[in-house]
Amino acid sequence: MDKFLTLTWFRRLVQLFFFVIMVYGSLFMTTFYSEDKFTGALPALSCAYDEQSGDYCTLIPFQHQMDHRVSGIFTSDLSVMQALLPTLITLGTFILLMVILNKAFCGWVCPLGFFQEMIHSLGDKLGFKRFHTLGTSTLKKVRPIKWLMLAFLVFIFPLLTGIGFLGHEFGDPFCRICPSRILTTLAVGDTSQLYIDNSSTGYMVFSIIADLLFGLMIAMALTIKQPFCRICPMLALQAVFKKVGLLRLVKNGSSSCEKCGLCEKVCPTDIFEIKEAVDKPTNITFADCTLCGLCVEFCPDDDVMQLQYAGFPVFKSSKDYFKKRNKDQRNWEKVTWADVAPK
Amino acid sequence: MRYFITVLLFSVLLQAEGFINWQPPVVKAKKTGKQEHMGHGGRKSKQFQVNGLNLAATTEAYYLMPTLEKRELTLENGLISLPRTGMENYHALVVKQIQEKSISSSVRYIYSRGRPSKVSPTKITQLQKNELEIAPILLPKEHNHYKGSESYRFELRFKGDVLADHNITFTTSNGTEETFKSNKNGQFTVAMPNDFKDVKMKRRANRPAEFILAAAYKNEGISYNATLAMPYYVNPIDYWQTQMLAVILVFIGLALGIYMLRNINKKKKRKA
Repeated sequence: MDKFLTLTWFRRLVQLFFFVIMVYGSLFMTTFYSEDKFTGALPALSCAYDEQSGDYCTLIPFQHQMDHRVSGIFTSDLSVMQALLPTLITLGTFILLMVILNKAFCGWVCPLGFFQEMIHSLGDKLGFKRFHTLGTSTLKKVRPIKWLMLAFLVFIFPLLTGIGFLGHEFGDPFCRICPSRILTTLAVGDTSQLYIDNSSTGYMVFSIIADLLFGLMIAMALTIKQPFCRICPMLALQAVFKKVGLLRLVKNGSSSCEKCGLCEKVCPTDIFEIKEAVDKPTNITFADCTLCGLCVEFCPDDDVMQLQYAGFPVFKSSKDYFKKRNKDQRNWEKVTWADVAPK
Repeated sequence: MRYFITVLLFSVLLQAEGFINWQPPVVKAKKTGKQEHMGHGGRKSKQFQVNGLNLAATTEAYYLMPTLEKRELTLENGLISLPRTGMENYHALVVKQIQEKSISSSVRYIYSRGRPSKVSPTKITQLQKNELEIAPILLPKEHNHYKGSESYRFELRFKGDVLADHNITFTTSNGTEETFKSNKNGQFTVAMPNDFKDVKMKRRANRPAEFILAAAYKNEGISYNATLAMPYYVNPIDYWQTQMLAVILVFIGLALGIYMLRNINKKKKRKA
């Protein structure tokens, strides 16, 4: 029982809870329609195509607003304020949620993040060789992709569609390729989002990318930690507002930081900068951080790494916890599919 | 032209039996002279017309907002322009005609854009609007409509109580006619027909068709006739979307991923 008293196990339970809420929420909350959703601007990939979802992702209204409303500044007699007001309301809701949980929406709430973690664990148990890091040079190439996805797929293409420069298929281009759309609809038994669309070249290309990306993400997740998160525009959007969040990852100065490097090794998004030593307590909630807390769990020094809420430590590293956690991890890694499979 | 004739026949068929129903009016477009629905484009108010109305009889019509607030409507030759409520979500367009020994009513649910209502449409579908009423169990939500080849559940109620083992007729503007029977819970399932003709293989190029669910019931010497009229759309899966190829693509993606990972592994080994 003692081995379950870890931050990771607690996080898994929270993730499972939110997976059920975000994918099947309407079944037991008597909700069915967007009007019943918690926020309509959730900083996690909870999809509106899933008719049973409890809430949906903020990238959906942003794309629609760019296409149908903000574009009105250029195409109709809408005033700037009229055109921007819905976007400002969505942004306000998003920022409010960011204040409450910051980037933990990725590491604790997102159904796609949870799914990838589960696939990774499955890959581990099936004996797939894990990549502890993608390597600094690969990471430097991959990291800008999420910013490009955010800029083009969430804002620029939908806006150009609304103005009339692009076809309708570019009205919500991120949703068209988002793996969460396929995952969450399949999870409720709805196969309607798994298709190739022949109605136009644009729709066809988007649908082919979506299907390939979904398969690719599953294959990658077997050995690489959080493959889609690394290019997810939600991670980028959250990074813009990470400083307003009350929940933060804070590092205190320690002379042993650069020798150890365990925090970098366990980080699901390979933030190599995390191991760099600091002189004074520093907020190290990096752009790619999902506030999963693994680095705090695996830090072997007392109080060096902390998860702080409004300046108060809610979870901090310690030698004793590290010893216990490390032992549990080694025991967990020893268990393979061959051990549990019926002989 | 064919569309106009089928819609006309469809309306006349139901009128003959004392039913009334909400339909978008069919008019000639000024520029092209072609038959088209009114009020679906731009910022014009949407218009709807009650078919089968006896203009001499007492008729009341109102528009019910998601918050259940009523807006009285004035019918002009059976025609109304929808008022703007500024509220998002399903609204209900309700009409009731009271004659000496019969009460006819019709409901149509209309999705409008605007500020979030924060109310579930089950509130509006569950509310008793007429004595005899056919109500959807769930209305299709945000990204969805009623579509061909999909099944939907409805409920038949009389004065708020479910009406079991009762016949309900289903007709579409594309010519399909069927009869359903409510179960002991007053519910019945309609498999929406894929009866569209000359479907264009493009999104947005196909006009929705109309379906009407109609039920009649006699109680204490009064005949009650009720209809539910709604549009339904071409299902992309029936025409321009392929699922089998999509599954194959997902597997190709999986294989591609595994191949890429093997390559990365090999490179790492060589470097080591």
